[in-house]
Amino acid sequence: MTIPSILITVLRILLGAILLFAGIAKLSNFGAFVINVDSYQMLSTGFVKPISYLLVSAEITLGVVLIVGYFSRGACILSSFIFLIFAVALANVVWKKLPILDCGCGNFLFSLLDMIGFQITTVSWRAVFMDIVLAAVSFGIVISSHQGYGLELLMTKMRKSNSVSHK
Amino acid sequence: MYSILKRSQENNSDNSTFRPIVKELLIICIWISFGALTIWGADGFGLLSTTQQVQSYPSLQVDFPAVYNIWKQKQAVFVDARSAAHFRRGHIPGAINVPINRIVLYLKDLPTDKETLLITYCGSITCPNAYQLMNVLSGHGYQNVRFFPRGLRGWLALGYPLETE
Repeated sequence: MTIPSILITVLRILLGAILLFAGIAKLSNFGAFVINVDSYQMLSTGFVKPISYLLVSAEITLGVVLIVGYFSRGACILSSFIFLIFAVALANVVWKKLPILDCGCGNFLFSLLDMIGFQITTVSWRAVFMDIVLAAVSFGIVISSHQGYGLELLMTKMRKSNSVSHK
Repeated sequence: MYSILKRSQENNSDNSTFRPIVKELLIICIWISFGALTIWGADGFGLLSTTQQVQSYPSLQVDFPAVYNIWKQKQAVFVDARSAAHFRRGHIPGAINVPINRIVLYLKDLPTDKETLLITYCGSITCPNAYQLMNVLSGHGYQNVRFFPRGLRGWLALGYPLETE
């Protein structure tokens, strides 16, 4: 066990938890989330619901994959892409000064930061910055030379031990 | 990037460097698509409803046939909680549009008399926004706010008129 690998694992699980909880929060109040997506005024009406289905599904799937630690590089690439999409959407709202009060992020990290006075869930440049940080962390895991602990590593070790025993 | 190349080369006997990552991305995208289809199905069957929350407050609801009589006698102002695009496509005749996330912009359209009876509604019984808008309007000082839980779908199901713009 090396410290960088442990750090990578912790960051990956944290990202996974953020995505999973955000996905579950959106799914539990899906009607409000659809209205939220619509209020960002970036999609034509016909695309609002399909994109909402995809976003919630992506958050839950990537959350589970990142926590378990399977296909984590692919999941990190996709999660950094999703965080960038969120950052662009939020920046668009802030830039156009659209009257959206709550970002609808459903993100426990954001809520936690809100509780200690950072006001992240209010649509602002802070929320944009936070999403960029999360995208950077996600991409950092992809380009890191250290592999975190998880199901993937376990399966690789099992495969190796099997091949040794067959020899 | 060098580390990805290095790791990929270590892990794979063949020379295609990005193949494992592309494979991972493809598999995850397929999972995401299946998830989205499942959510779409669940939404279609009304499993994503928030009616439990709605049903907890029967005294705040206005349902059939009272809602139709109130509308016919113009005793209340109907407030549509859906987006402006949905509102344009069709709404209860005479209704005002106040999308839940753009309340700040649309508050000026509401009656200034805070004692006016307001009835909020949205798309269907599975949509929570009518209930949420009712709470928000109450917070803005409106004393007689109720919601119509069946929404526009329920209104149309009984053959009541629709207004489009």
